[in-house]
Amino acid sequence: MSFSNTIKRSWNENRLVSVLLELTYACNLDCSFCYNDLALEGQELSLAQYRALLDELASLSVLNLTLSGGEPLAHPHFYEIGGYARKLGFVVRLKSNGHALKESVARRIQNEVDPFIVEVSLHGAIAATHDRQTRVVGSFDRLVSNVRAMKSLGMRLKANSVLTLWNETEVEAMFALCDELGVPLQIDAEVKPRDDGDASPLEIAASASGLANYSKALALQLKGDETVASVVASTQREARVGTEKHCGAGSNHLSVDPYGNVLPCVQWRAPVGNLHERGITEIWAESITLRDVRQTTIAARRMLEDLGEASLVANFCPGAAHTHSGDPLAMYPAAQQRIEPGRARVRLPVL
Amino acid sequence: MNTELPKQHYRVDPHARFRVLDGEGIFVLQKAGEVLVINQVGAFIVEQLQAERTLDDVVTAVTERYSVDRAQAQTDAGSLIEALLEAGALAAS
Ligand SMILES: C[S@@+](CC[C@H](N)C(=O)[O-])C[C@H]1O[C@@H](n2cnc3c(N)ncnc32)[C@H](O)[C@@H]1O
Ligand code: SF4
Repeated sequence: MSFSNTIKRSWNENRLVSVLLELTYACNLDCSFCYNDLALEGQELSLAQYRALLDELASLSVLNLTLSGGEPLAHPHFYEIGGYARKLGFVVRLKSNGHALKESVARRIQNEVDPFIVEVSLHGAIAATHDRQTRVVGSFDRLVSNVRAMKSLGMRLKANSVLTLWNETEVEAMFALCDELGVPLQIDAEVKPRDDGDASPLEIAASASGLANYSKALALQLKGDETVASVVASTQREARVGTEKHCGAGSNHLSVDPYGNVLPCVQWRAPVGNLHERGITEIWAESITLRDVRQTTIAARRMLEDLGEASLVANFCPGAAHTHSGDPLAMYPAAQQRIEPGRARVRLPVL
Repeated sequence: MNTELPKQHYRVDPHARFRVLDGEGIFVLQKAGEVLVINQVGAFIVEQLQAERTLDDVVTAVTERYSVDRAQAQTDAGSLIEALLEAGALAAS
């Protein structure tokens, strides 16, 4: 019995395991490259609707619940929702920019929500870079001090970062800072378009040399004859075993935006239903759009396999493809770029 | 192992989370950051405990559901609970 087999089966059998709730698009920071579509309109879900949603998700045996946003703490009922999630036995993950997580707030979250992990966002190794991205002076110093406070409370933390033109020379320093703070760091090398398809966030996408420097920094963390490409390829190869799907979007995970739109994944902004109209159980079982999404993940897998071994390093995401062009199966620049050097680097067995 | 069945109740430890996925029981041990997977019979036992049944009642339910003899069910349920208590997945209540 292994947990990874259980998860893989959930892709095949369309068993909902993880749900991400974007509670609000309100935020106490103002990142210029933020993918949230602030112009999106709709009626926000009420506290009663969140309670009903969580009840249904618990009945569906959903295990993981991520609270994100915007800034989840900016939701007026954050503690009620988080506390109810705890009561219903979800493994709660909190994705926050960390700006409001001073010791007293963190303690309250620990007591009332008891998250499995708090993930915070780091935008640079120094205040000038981090604050330039968040457009809030002092946000770096506050984040570092809040992280120290949360560590002293014994909370499990992780830092997430997005590689950009502005922080691409600080990768090693960001790893060093996180080492010193005792927090693992994950860097996403890809700036995504805004959820409405607006490409302006890509203006600060990392440069080719920034991406090369990032790969070098990651390589330093690997051992022996591993390369970043070989690690990505073997992870992808493993992910392909035992399933015909490319990913679990709409098959074992979903996202819900603040207006009740149900999405296959946080990156795949094509609603498969709306909670003002139907409950999540009904959407999960009956949405025709959701069925199409599941088929699309199978088609994505076939499309990538047709591209050969090099596609293993593409880190292709049908959701990102949909945001780029409206077509979840169309190759997009960042994935294409990863494939090109991949063609040269991924070695094929000769016989 | 203690073969006496106390009128004891057990519940999922406040620091653990439990779900039944695809018949298997999944515990997430929040403090240790570990996942523990138990089989279908184990998942059934934990579900019974969550419904506030005593160990004695759980053993009866296992014999009815899986047609095993009472002594075997008692030994298996007892060792599972002991292991889960030790792992921090269950707590006595
Ligand atoms: C939208 S935020 C929501 C949670 C919280 N406000 C935060 O900043 O962590 C989730 C994550 O997406 C990242 N992000 C925002 N805009 C992005 C973009 N255009 N491309 C890639 N990642 C982005 C953020 O840096 C953050 O780590
Ligand atoms: S902190 Fe998060 S939600 Fe707020 S603007 Fe930045 S990325 Fe967007």
